[in-house]
Amino acid sequence: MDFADLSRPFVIAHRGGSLQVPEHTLEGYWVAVGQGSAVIEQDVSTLADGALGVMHDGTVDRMTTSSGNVADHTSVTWKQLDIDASVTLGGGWPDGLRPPLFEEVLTEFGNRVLLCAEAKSSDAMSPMIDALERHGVRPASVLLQSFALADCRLALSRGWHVIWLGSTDVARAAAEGIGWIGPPAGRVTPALCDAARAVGIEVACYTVNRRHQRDAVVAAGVDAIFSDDPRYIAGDAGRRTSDLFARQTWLPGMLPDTSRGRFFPDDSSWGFDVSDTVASTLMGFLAPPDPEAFTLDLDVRVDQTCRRSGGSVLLSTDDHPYRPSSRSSPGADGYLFTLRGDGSLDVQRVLEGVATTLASSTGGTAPTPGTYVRLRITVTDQALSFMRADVAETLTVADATCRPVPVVHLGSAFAGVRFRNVVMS
Amino acid sequence: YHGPADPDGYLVEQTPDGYRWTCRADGRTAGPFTSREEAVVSAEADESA
Repeated sequence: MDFADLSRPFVIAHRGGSLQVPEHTLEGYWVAVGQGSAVIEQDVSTLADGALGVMHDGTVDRMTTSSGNVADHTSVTWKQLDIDASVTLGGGWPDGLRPPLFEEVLTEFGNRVLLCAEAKSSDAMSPMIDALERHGVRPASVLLQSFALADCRLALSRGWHVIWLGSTDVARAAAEGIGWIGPPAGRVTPALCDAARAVGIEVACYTVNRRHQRDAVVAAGVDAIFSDDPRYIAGDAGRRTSDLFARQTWLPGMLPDTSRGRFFPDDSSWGFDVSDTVASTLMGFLAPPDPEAFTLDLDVRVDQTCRRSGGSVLLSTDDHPYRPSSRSSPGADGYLFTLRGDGSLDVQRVLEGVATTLASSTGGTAPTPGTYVRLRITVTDQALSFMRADVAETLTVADATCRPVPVVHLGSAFAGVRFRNVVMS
Repeated sequence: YHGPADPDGYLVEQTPDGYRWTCRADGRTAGPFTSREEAVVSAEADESA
């Protein structure tokens, strides 16, 4: 398969899909390909001995157990770096992986997978093309990329397709003979895509991790989308009605609204450590069988017993991030259901991220720290109910302001909170 | 939402007196910054300016 064979728009696994796999590792690339990614991205920099290393940053600090500049490494010391996957990603990924050389990527994936390789350092493009030609990789199976126009000119002069990153200058791209522009998603408009299409230029935008953003750029007319979570962005298929927290691995659409939480292997749960903040994470893989009317059952453990602490569920109209500590979260509309640390229940309407209380229970029996409480939320076209099973307490609210609300976010407030056995029916 | 990534289009690197960023589109640089995080924040601000 070549790029010309892909239907538009297609999704590019940004850094290999860095929300699902350890970014820029051969192991991560293989998993991304196995999960259906047709295109994987590389970021390529020149090393001190002229070899080419694959890493997103200018330093190795963020991704490895070492520190210092990428450019100061040789191919020998590059192979001695350890990707700190258990810290930088978690989700069961082991330490001991290492960043690849570009030559190794070409050996493993050249002519087998579509590659989208960016020249990160200013001297990388020419040796990248040398390596591609040495490995006999077909130009039709590669899209090179650079923010530097000089790099784009070099790629074109040697017969390779290239994305001019960061650019919205369609006229200049056309005059230069560049076939792709790569603006940030926030600068994509229908007018830009129309102008590009009129002169035969395609548009690849970066970086889109939410479906409401995807829908906007697709409606504008983009031809390709870079995403850190390509399985979530590539389609609506694969949605589930229950969690898989027992597997202790990241699922598509488990995106940080404020943080991403972590898995707890001691009881096969997922949640948040104790903190002095309010947290929220999108559960994009979850979807009810009927978005108009459904029941959500889950077990929640809240490890503090004061009223201001709690575990929460936000049911929202789409996957806009909910940032409860911010004064507003544009686009975050729905209902927030909270089990407080003192055992009381709250139901709040959320509009643009601002919560208004609709109903609260006044008393309550505080859950025993370390134990789970079974909760049930029921949504109909006109009403909402929130039940705590262990004390048979139910709040019912008549409100239809926000419908449908099929998107689930799980959150915590000033407490360690864990969730498991989440089921939508 | 080991610290943040370099913003797309910028390379943050260590120098003898701290950290600096380089904009790949036009080669502009800024620094020194006392930490990598400070350099990333500056590059992010430049990106969104």
